Amino acid sequence: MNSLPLVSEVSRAAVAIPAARFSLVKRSVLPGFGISLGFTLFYLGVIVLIPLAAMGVKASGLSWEEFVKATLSNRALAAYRLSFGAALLAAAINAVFGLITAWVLVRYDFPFKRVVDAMVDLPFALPTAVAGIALAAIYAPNGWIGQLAAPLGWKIAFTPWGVGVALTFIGLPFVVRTVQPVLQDLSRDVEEAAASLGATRWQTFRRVIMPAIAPSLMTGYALAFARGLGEYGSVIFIAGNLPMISEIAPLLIIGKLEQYDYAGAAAIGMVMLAIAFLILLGINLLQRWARVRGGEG
Amino acid sequence: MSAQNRHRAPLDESPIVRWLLIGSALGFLFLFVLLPLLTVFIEGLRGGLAR
Amino acid sequence: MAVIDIHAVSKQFGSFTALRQVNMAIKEGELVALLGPSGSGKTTLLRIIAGLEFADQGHVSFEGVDAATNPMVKRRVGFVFQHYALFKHMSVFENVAFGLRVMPSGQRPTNTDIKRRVEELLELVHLGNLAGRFPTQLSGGQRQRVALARALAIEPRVLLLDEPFGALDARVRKDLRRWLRRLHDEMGLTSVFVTHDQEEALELADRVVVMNNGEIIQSGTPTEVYDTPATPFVYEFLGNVNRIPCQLEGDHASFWGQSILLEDLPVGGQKRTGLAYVRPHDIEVVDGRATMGQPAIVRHVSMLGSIVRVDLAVEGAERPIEMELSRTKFQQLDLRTNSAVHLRACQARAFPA
Repeated sequence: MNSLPLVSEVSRAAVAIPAARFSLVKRSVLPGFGISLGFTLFYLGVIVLIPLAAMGVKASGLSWEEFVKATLSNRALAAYRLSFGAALLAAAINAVFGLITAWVLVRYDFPFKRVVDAMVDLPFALPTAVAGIALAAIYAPNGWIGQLAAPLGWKIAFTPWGVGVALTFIGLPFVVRTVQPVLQDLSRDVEEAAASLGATRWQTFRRVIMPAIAPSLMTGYALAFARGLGEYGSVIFIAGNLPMISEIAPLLIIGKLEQYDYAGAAAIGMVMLAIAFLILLGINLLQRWARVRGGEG
Repeated sequence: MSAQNRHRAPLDESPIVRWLLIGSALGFLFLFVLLPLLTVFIEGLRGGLAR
Repeated sequence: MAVIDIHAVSKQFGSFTALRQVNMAIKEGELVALLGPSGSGKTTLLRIIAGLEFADQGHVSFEGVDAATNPMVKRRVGFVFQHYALFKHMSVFENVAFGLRVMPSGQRPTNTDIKRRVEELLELVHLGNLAGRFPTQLSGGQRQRVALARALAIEPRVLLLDEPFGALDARVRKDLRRWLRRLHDEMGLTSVFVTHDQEEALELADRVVVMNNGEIIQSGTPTEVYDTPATPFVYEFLGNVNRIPCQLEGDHASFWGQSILLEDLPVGGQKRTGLAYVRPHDIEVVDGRATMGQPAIVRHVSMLGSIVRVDLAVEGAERPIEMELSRTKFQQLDLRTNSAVHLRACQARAFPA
């Protein structure tokens, strides 16, 4: 009723894969371990690795100079900066407000709580292009919100801010749905223990609750970030798509494909993939660190 | 059960904090989910009614 | 002087009445056991004393100060939870240090003081060498001791324990019990613990408070509640007891050809039936050739270590009578299955049926 199957499946898979890889060395006592590992690797190979390898093969058609020219042009660099910057920012906004939303949904009672809970999943249900058009209409200078921001000299739609807005919308369910079940399972007696030891509510939150939910919060953040990075449909309607200013990297790739420059498109794809992988790896390491300790800090 | 109690249980936030949190969660969802949804409906219906 | 005064406290959870009009005073240095079956309100009472829960009616005061004006943070009450409630992501050291680290900056000890204090406490609970471990790496008994050390770190005036030994195995439980009693005496604490184990309550406590259905049924020293239970409920809750039909008349109850004086339970002039309650160890075998006493047949003999339990059949009674006696006594009597004996109760109390 409150956890979207898709999200938990994704996060579970993300956790399960590294573990399986490391225990390959030892002989396992788990029955069916060989078969399930084989299936996992096969599945992962067909769905993820082979397409990625094909992209590598395409990009390798380029010489080193051509690769550098395609991936490190000023226009490409600006697009990376926007894509990663907006995805990280939107995921951060979602982390903060997603945590608050999950907290409110688990801990408090207020009118229409069920409706609000159901609303959280809507960004997944709405076709992204529709979302993009709707957001552009609201945040345009003559839109409902846009006309409030305009007198302050703040343009949202058709600027990099618009990209951030679209990606925040797209990634909204992830943090809520990863944190919510963990918060629900948190046993109250630990919080009572903290209170009986003289901790204020804020101290209890920071020292006891936060460390317990930090790993799930980071999972949600990583998912929202990854989702935002690849988002195309909604962004192109609200971004304005000005090269060097509000053009995202996926749009640059589409542009290259439309000119039949498959190798160039693959090259930019490779660069994005590499950076995304490094960032996700970083989040993963941080998560592991948070899981082990994190009481003090 | 403890909401209507005259005392605040040690695990409850003060009403101000609670309403601040509910307010920011609802505000966030309003801005990023409800508003786009309303626009979709309003634009969709306007096109239909104008014809 | 009473450290804690509980006055006419009632608590309702929905339609369930957890406590009704409970009055109780806890004196300085006392070790009190709240004993009762589950749902008797004992844990609710403990949580109200701690400030984790609030009474619907009545009030609790600490050294004369109404607890309502005194939030949990200021009560200086150490609480040990049934399932320990340790902070999983913190080491043993940090768990114990928690109460010191969250003190307001004016009162908070320096890091070196915290370190010294925590090390002292870990020494006290014999966990000095495990400071760096995490709770998941400890046994049940060790976790319980960490929980205790953590509660003691804030130098509580009152220590409250919710089923402190409930989740431990018999051997560890016994050791921890003795150790807790010593700790309580050495540190001069005032302690209240909740238990459903009568043996635990009788062994450990200075005073046993028996609860049922949200009410205090009886409160007294272990000897008082064990030897002179106020109601049949207390009788049955505190250990095994034989129920023997009897006749009540005036201030006497008669059964088995004996007559006992009803001390505080006069039932009036007319004759009526009642039940006499006799503990298994208060039943004796009368000398073999005598004709007084209740005839009975030995049905079964169980050797329970230091004592022997004998099940006896008595004519007219559907349930067998249980008798407990020492091994030496058992050997003297030379009881065998199916041998006929005469019984007598050396201590009994009767209640109207």
